[in-house]
Amino acid sequence: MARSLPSKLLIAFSSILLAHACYSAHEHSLLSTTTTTTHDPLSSSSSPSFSSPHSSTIPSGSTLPLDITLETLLSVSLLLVGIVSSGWELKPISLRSYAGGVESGRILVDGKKGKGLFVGLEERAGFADVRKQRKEFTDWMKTQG
Amino acid sequence: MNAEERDLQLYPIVPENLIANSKTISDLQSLSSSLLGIAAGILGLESYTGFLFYLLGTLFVSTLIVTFVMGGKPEVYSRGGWKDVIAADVTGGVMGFVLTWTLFFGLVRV
Repeated sequence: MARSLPSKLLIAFSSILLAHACYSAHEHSLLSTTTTTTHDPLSSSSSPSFSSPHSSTIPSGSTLPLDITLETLLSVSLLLVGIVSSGWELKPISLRSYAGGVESGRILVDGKKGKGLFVGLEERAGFADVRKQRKEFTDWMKTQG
Repeated sequence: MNAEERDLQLYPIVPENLIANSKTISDLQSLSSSLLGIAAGILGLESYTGFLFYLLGTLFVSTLIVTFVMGGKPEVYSRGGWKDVIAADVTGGVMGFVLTWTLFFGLVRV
């Protein structure tokens, strides 16, 4: 799997965007919970500085602002596009097209050009030279005495 | 010999490539379902809305896989065609999705 430069950049950019969206959502939920519970006597002493004049406009901690929602959706779809388009390689499953691709060099086997699926049949030893082997054997017999 | 066996005899397949392709697709789907879980946790989706989001997200990922990775011809790389890709995508990543969904829901919403 060889990642190309555009998909690397896309993955990096959308990861930063996603982290920012996550941070924003966390801050928003923190802010809205502290502002809505400032009237609570138990948590009023924890952080009174967060109480803003807009505390009545934020209904609860479960609704996100539209920009954080859009940022999350955009960053995740960009990240998915970046991951999917980063050079995943599949091989054709039918023997016909796979063998043809290997033989013509379109499909690389273990990173180099293969010689086809029938290389064991195409590259075999020729006939054995029986006379030469018999002569070697008689020479050997003579040296043995 | 039924029709499927005869089809396999006439047009043989390479089992190693079939296994390698399904492994690549399952890698992709576990990555993407974790990311979808992160998004669902940030958005604070609950119960059926979250699973609806997962379903839409995996359909999007399957479309991306079929267009980008398979070049618009899914029947060359998997036996069932695009239906196989979508089925594997939807069923394979639910666990990873729920894991990161709950994790980020808890992280963001304190």
